[in-house]
Amino acid sequence: MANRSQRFDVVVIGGGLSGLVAAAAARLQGAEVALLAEGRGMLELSSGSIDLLAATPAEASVQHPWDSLAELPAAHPYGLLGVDAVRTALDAFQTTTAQMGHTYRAEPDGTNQALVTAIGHLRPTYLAAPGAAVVRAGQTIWLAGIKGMREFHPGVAAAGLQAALPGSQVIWNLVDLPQASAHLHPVQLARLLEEPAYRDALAHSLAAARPQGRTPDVLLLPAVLGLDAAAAVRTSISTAVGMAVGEVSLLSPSIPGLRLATLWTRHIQRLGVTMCLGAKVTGARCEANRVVAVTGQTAAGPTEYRAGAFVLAAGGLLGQGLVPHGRTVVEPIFGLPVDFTGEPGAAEGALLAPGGHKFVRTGIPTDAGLRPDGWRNIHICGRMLSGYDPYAEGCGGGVAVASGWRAGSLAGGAAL
Amino acid sequence: MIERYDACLKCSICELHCPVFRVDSRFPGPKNGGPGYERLRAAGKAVDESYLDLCLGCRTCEVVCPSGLKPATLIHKPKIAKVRRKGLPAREWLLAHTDLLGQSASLMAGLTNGVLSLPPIRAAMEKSLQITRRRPMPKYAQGTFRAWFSGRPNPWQGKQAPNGKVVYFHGCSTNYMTPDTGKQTVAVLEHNGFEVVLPPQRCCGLPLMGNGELKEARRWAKYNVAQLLPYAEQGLPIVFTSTSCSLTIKQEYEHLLKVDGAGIVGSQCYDLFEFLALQHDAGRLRTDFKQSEQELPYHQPCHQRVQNMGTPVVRLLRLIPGVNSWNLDAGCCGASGTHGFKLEKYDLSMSVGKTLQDAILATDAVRTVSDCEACRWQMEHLTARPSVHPVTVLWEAYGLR
Repeated sequence: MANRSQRFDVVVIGGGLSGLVAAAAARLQGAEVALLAEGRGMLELSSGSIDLLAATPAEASVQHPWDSLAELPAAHPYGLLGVDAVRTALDAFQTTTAQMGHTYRAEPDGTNQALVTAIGHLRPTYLAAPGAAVVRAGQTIWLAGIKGMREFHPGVAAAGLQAALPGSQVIWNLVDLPQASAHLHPVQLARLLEEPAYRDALAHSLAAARPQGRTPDVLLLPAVLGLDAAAAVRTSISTAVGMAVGEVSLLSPSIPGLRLATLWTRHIQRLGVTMCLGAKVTGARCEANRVVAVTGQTAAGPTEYRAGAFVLAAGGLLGQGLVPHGRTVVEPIFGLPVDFTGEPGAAEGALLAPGGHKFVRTGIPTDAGLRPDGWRNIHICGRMLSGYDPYAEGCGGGVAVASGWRAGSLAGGAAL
Repeated sequence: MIERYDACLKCSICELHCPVFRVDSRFPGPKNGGPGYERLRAAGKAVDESYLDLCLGCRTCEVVCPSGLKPATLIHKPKIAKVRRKGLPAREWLLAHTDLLGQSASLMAGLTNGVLSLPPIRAAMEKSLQITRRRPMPKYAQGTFRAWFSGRPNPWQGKQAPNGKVVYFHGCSTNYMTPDTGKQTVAVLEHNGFEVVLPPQRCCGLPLMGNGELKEARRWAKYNVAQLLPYAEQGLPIVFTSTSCSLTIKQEYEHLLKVDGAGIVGSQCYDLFEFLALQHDAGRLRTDFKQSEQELPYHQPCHQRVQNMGTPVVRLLRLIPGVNSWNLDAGCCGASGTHGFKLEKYDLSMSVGKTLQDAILATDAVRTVSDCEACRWQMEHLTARPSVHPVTVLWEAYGLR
């Protein structure tokens, strides 16, 4: 029964990073916006930091992402958007998060910075999440783990880090924390550490375990230092040990990823975006080359969401915005044309093949307005776009933010 | 209905968002307790189900799951099986019979409220029934909503209401505890040109279902469907002011209780604000609101969120000039209906509610808004700030006071 029909200016499909950013951008244009998401996106599995560009076919390790980004082919999402649009979006992301009290930090000279992973690998990123474990060559680095915690062992991380930074002094130890030996999940530890008494217990254990000799430049801990109150938790531990504190990303699910997701879902709702979580989009009503409405499932049956413009941010093959169908890949809501690059043989032999796998570049080709060929009022963003490899190129977050912001701004502007 | 479990990718997003898993490490969590245990059961393996009872039934896992699974529904299964084997314990029986309690208590509301606020009585209830003394009992009203409704003249008597008829399912709490919510709903609907119809009704059955008792819930569901079906078949909308009742009748009567005709009834059901927002989008809602400068943080009830319809409350309250309303999005309040009254669940309900408590206290708002009565009681208990049904705000803004 199509007796439920809601009217908005812009409807965003997908609740990952690009969808959230698109919804904010459209709302800032003055549009009435609804965001429909079947579930939470891949954001909770991400590091929470925003990678811009870490490698290109021409450059195995990018130091100056803005320079390298300008050299990318026109079919790459960054090529489509242009450097200025990418800059505008990243600035907006940084300003917005800072206004919410979360300072994402970029290097003043625009170079990539190095984040420490749980195996002590150095991973390049552009905007480091608040409190992320950023290190520099030559620093004295103290890695501390929590006894009983399965997700992080500082010895493993220290060995990797020492190899990556031979000129640095890397020290590690394990500290006791009440209850942690009961194999607490990272989210349980993070929540417990918001309790002042528990946080003090960790600070106390750390102060007792502080390495002798030269004062370390930075203390790195597993990324479990609080949820909503993360800034307060980090500050109090930093004060207690008398040095900077950084958080090492763990295997997913990720607490910094959860914080970023929470921040933006609250932000867009504070702006007045209607968020329909759990609403799977099952169909669309189109006239000629325009989308009139999409259908979302509610408890009492389908609801139609009409709008002047639509943003499709439903994710790629992992996020199920694109789905395998026989020997090809389809976009299930609108049936948009997909550039499928996964023919047999397109996967390289090695799992971590240096140049990446061709099938990863599968996506929807668009024009500079992020519209698929022949469509007027639908804008694509994030992992659905074709022509890039977020894993090999280290550009997933940057493409999500830049294309999301652009798609949302265009949709918001067009719908009014 | 067989719920899918093999599509679980073990991405653990549900664990990050589960309000119970965050604060209680005894709870196996939605991923393991839902699809994980179901896999074991399907393979004929024994499963330790002792801590699954900590699940609040908030169904956060069901809205965050990127694969569309229903972990809470799977977790609920062993509870149902246990009650089928052993019956409902005395305390659960008492807490689940909101309708029966309301009928008797509201006869002597003053006396009931007085007695239920006496510390020695609460201490005795805690000892004998394991009903916590730390949570105030909701107050019964003098006179029910239904009595008020039947004692007033129908303003559309002998006339056709310009926008037709609307059927109202008020639920137990509106009838016995907050009849003002019902009176204001009637006033707002009539102001917008609707005639309100009030068929006989019983408790929706959610408190029974939440405690695992389906047999009696099915009896009540059949009664309610029989009352509502003739209206649904005429195409009349059925509106609710309690989101738990609406979830139950929209969805659970058909899917869990499998009552004949429930699908037709469910498809005609609307939350009041869902209904009003649809009227607004169709150009039929009056917007003659008085200016009113106020901050109104909204708590989206979990049972409203799992209906996947967004936050029509926020959309409508933002139409009132001067009102700034937004969804706090601070998770489950922790009360979960009757759960928060149970002695052994009280601490859990308060630690679950802490995120919401902090979010409310961080605002300057003098009152909060939510469309579930159990959430409002918990929010008041957590913050000592009043919490109102959104229809109250609309009713004030229309100048119907």
